[in-house]
Amino acid sequence: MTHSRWLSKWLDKRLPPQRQCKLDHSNIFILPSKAGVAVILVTLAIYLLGTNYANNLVLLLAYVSTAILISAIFYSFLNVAHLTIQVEKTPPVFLSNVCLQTFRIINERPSWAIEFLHHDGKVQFDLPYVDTHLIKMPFVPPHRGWCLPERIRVQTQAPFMLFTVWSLPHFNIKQLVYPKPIECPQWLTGTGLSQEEGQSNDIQNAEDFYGLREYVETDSLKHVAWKQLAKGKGWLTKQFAAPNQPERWFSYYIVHDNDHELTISHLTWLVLQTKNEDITFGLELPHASLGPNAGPIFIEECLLALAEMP
Amino acid sequence: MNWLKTELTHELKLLSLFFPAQIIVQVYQSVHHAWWAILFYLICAIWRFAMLTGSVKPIGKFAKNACFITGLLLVVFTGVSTNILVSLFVMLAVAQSLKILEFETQRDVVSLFIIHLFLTASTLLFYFDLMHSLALALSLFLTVAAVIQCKIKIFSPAASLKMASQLALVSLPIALVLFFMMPQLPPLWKMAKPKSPPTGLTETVKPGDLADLAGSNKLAFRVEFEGAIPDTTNLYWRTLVHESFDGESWAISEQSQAWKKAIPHKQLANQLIDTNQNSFLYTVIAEPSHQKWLHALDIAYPLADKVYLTPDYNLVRTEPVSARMQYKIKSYMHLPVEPYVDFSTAQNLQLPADENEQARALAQKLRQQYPDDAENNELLINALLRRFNQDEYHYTLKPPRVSQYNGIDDFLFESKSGFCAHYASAFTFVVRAAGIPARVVSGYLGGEWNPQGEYLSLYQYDAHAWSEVYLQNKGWVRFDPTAFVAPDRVEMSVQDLFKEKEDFLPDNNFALVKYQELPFVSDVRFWLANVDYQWTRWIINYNQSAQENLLKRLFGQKTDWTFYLYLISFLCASIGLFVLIIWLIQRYKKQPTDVVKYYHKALKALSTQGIDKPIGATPEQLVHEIEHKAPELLPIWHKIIQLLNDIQYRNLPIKTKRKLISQLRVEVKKMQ
Repeated sequence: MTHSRWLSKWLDKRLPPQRQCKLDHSNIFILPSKAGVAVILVTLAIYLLGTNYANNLVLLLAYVSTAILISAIFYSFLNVAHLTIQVEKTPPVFLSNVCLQTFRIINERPSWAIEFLHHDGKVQFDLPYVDTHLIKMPFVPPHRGWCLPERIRVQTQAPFMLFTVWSLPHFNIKQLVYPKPIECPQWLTGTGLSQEEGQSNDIQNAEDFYGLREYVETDSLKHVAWKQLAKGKGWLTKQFAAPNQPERWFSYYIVHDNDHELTISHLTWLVLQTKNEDITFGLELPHASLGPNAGPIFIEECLLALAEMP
Repeated sequence: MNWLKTELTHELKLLSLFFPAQIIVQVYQSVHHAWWAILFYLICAIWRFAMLTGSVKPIGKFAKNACFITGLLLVVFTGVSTNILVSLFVMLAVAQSLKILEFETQRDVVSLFIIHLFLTASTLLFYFDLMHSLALALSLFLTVAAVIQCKIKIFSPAASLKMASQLALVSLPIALVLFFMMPQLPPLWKMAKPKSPPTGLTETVKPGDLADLAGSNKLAFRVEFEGAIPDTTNLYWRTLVHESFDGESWAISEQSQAWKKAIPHKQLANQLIDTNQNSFLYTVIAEPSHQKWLHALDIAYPLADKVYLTPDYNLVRTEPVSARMQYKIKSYMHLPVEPYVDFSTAQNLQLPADENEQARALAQKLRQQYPDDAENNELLINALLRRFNQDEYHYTLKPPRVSQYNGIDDFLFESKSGFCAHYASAFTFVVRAAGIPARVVSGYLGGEWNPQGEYLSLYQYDAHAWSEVYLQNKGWVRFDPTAFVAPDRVEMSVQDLFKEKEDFLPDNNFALVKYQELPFVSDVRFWLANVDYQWTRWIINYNQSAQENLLKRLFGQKTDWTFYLYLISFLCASIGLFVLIIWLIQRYKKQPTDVVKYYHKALKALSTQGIDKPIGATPEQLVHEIEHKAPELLPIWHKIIQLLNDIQYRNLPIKTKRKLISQLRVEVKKMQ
């Protein structure tokens, strides 16, 4: 729902964001629907007909029609008044997926043909019994991160289609939206870290140092134990605990490909891939680096960090 | 017949409500405007029904256009052959038929509702009996139910009807308050009047005509007296004066026609008041005759707007009576000695040049017996009346046909049997031939007293014709030759007079009036007539002055502005009361019953034990969790479930239920 700035200011005052909204006279709006306007005009025409022909029965018909219009205001109002609407917490979704926002509706009397309108869609339902009902409404999040759902429009023209009764409740619940995952299989095995690779490797290596063995020609010169050689102990090669399985790192800087959002999407996909294999990994982002770690909680942490990326 | 087994589709539900509603208005349109309207509607409705049940393929574009063009042609045809107003109504009827053929969306349903409102209004212009109004109300009611059905798809037609009746119960009082309280405005501009052929008495009377009217049991007018009621022998309701005779029929003279056009004649009316004291005050409620003439007793002084007295003592109105109207009259029973108007001597002595020689001879013979003299004139008339009384003259509703020429001779000397108009015509002819000014007056005689409504009803079969003779020093004097042939006619109605015979209303075996002797029938007939009378008095003829009277009665005599202050505060108070009542009802409905209250208390007690009822869970579904977290509560909980089920679902007498509810309260207390 798009409103002018003045109107939305007024609405914010009248219907501030809340966890739960009870519809009553203070937040329900009523205006004649198109059909209602048509019937009002027809009633006027019938009134003129009755007056000009001085025919009391035609006048009575005009008054009956007026009375129906008046009672319809009450009926339409009572159809939505006293509905209590709460928004339920919805699990995070990925961008460009449809989020099913759940509303808990408590009615105190039967309500008919209630519509929930949103710029992405519309749900219509009847509440014939007094109870608590759960209504799911599709909602396509506009961006990743914390989304504030816009005002929804709770509307009905029941039971006579003569008046539109609506309210615009605002719910102060934030919806977490993860970035959209985009495949990038080339980085599946990890990207390594972006900066001070050697040093950090050394530190890592030093920690994982395991032992020395005879130098073989195929060994990398990097791993020659130069200190030992200088001491005249001959060519030896440093041995590490897991020389071919370095920890998996997904680095923003390495995945980065001129497109900020695409990079985040790639990283999201990479993080998601670890889920099935329970792999330990670390995530390097411009402002923080997470892990290395493993497990669903860590994955959620990573996804949250990705979602919250500026 | 598959459709009978499956549940009705949305469109079928709508059709089942629309069809009876629209049939009613279409019948009225057919009867009044164009007979084929109902045919066209039936074809469209049945076609749609067949489409919905799947026995016919959905309508194609071509067929749709064909229907549209057919309807259009029919409307144009009606427009050419009648007037614009009728074609407008027929167009609405056709539009309704076409819409029922293709309605789909909510918008279509709304247009059907609007068309229905217009059609109802147009029908009400022509039909205003209570019976017709009820039929139209029913059809409007069904249409409102269809609108509800359209919006609330899960409703059954019965549920829609229930909601529509709720709406009717709320709306009708508002509508009536509006009707009685809203100021009645004068017409804002002139509209084309709906035209209808005149009914009842005609301006030209052939002796046989009135006998035809005697076969109609349609109401002509009703009269409510304020104060004394004249004798039955004096209830001569005059409508028309016929002064011009062409040998066959009596017509209104050109002079009178001119009077009818050149109104008002206040002067004569004012003169009446000066000379007379003995008067009767009454209100006449006339059925539409589509003529300008009104009915009243001799001699009427109109107390209503736009009703005037002509110099020949007829009441005339500026507009034809096209709807039920009422007017107040003060009648002075004694004719004043009036200034004789010269031109009417010639007019009231006028006779065709030849024919009816025997009658003329009779007049000459009488004249010879009673030579021209003021006193002898009366004696001559009495002699003539004696002749009717003593000769073999018969009063009958089925007079033999008389020849076009010499009709008076045929009647006077050959058949000697006829209806009132024959006697009045022959009497006037002879009196004129004897050189005394005379004229025929047509109107109604007597009336039926409705004891329940305390008013007098005059039906078309009460139509009557009599004569007036101008006597010097006395003015116009009424003579009713029929009274000398059948004296009973003056004291009884035609209905009573011909009760025994088959003559009365021969074509109308269903008329309740024929079975008057059965006491129950008589009561029912009076009751129905009275309901219709009250309906006419309070609804159809409710006008500005009636409104003022009603308001005066409600609020007392007040000056203008205080009166409106009272009126506005009364309206506000009644609206406030209405809102308060609705609010109280809603509040009452909303209040949870004790059972629900105790159940919620029990749930609260459970939640202190860490057991929260999930939404939608039944009490039974909680048993498992209670077993785990608070096994000590389980037996109480089982007891509560049992009690809840008994109270809510078993059909028990109220006393037992109360006992169970108090048990429930005890059990719930145990849980806390």
